[in-house]
Amino acid sequence: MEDKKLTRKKLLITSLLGTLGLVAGELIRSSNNIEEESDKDDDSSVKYGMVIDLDRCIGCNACTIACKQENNTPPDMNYNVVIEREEGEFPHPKKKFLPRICMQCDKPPCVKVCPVGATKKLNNGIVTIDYEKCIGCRYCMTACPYGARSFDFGENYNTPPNSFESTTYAEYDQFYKRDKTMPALNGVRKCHYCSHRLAEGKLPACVTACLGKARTFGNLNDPESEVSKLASKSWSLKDNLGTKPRTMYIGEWKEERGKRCVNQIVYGG
Amino acid sequence: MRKSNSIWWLVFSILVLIAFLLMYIRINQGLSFTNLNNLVGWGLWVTFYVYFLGISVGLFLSYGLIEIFNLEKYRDLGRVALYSSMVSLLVGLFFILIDIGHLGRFWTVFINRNVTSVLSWELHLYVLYFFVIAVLLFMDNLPSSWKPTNEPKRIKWLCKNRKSIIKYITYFGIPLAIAVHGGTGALFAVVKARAFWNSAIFPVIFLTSATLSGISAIIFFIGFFKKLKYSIGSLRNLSRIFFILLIFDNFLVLLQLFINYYSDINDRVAFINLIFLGDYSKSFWIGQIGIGVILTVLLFCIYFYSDQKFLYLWLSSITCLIGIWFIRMNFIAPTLSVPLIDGLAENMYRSNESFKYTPSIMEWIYSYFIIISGTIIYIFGINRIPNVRDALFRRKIKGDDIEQNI
Repeated sequence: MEDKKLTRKKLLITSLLGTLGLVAGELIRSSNNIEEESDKDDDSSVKYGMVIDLDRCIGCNACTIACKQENNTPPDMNYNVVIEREEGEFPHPKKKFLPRICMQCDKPPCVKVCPVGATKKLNNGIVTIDYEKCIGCRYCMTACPYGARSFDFGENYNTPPNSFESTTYAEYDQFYKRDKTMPALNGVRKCHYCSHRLAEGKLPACVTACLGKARTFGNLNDPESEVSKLASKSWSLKDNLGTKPRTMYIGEWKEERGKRCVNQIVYGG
Repeated sequence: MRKSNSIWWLVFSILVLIAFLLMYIRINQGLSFTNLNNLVGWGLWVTFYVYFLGISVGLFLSYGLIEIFNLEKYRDLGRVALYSSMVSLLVGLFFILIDIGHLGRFWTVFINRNVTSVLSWELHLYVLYFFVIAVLLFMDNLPSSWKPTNEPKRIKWLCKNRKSIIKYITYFGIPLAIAVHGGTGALFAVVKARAFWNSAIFPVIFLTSATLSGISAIIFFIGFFKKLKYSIGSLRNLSRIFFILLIFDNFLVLLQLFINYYSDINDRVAFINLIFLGDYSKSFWIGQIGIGVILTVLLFCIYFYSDQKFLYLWLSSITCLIGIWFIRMNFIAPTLSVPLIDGLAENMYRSNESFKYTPSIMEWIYSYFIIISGTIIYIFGINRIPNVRDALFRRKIKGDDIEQNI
């Protein structure tokens, strides 16, 4: 009976070995998964990116409409938002516009935090969401510094949805129809550079629809591409956070994060 | 069938029926009946999840200290704390379960892991933590001396080594509990997009608040279960720990607020303005400061200077628990209300209203239901777990001359 006695040493060694085994197993499993995903969805010769010229943007929202039509997005879900701001005072007021889409960051905070690995960074630069995997915890929405992610609450413009709302549409090379069994419902959605259009050799819908030709899209790996040339003189939103966005801007925009909130409360603005 | 059993059957049947109805609505309507939106994506349910998890960890840490330092006088309180910590954990986890969009996929977090996600690690730790509490409860209720019966040999071994097993599991459980709630704080602290959360002190505040809520809950139990025996000496010590933690916790909260305000960084100052003067000021001044600090300290002072009448300490523990809830609430929704890009919310919703978050009636109904269900399950368990039942209704403590009943 003596050898069966539980000693401090035995318990500590067993617990330590167990924990090490679990951690090692997990690391091996997850590293295998990453490799698998990259091989499956990737074309490493292409790195997509977009540069938006703010001086060319006229705030017409054609991009917003084109995006909504292409991706069949429900109310309150905008993959593309054009932020308007008035600057200057009479007699020289100016209206400035900042189109905001997913930045497809090279170091995406959303990918890091997702508890089920539903959101991934592909080698072609696009950050994807696996609607079949997403559990709808909204941690990625909280972690995105650009507010580029939206939760699909299941609302429609019309109840029941009209013929357009019920049409089949594509996202991430998959086809979806808006009904209660739709996987994206109760999950998080975002701009994906119209990946289904890219697969067909087309440009994203917002780029095609832009009246002022403010958006330039292409392969950042190709130094001769127009987007690469523009990217070299571009800036990124919230550069200090180290997210390395692939959606960049040229033109003037003063970043005043939280200022409206501060001013409104303190000065009643 | 015994009368008490039929009452329980009736109570549980009603609970199950209401649960079915609520789950039917929740599954059919998703989260559309909540007041959450694409700016404030976490609200009341996440607050309750953090709150109950904190209470659970606080209670477990109290139990752990009693067990490791072999504080015989507090043994009964420790047993009640251990059991309460389990129920509190379950209630907290239920809140996070109904908060996720795809209810049916909750289990996939255990097959689709992401090593870089704090939440992924946390969810695994919760399961481990639950098992640690369950095993400790089981071990604690085993007989300390083996009597030859028909029970298998393994039970004999467990009975013989009961004390050392409990001690070693508790050794393992304490850092685990710290990781569980420190991790919950880290869940917020790692989010660099939200300036107020992104601070190393955040997990520490979570842990201190958790320990304080655990001690407050123990004082609450002493008052609530009138047959729970305690000594004047142990109560005096508890009240001292309670007050020191109360001051320390609020000191850390104050530090966090002060450093954010002092920074003059727009996002941070915006948060401070929102809770000091803006949409969440009532919740901050009345809930967190008024009830959680001023009233709690006032009641404690009355207790301390007026013959140490327990009623005041008991009320003080209740106001403290309410105050901690407000701290959690004020740290979550207002942070998410600070705009990520100026003008984003207005252009997304064409209204400023989407900044503010006030829980919807349905969110409250679900919350009340979960809390009431948790309470009923708690009361049910009290009568079935021998040591907890003994601690609350029969056993008398040894080693202290003075005993007091409320």
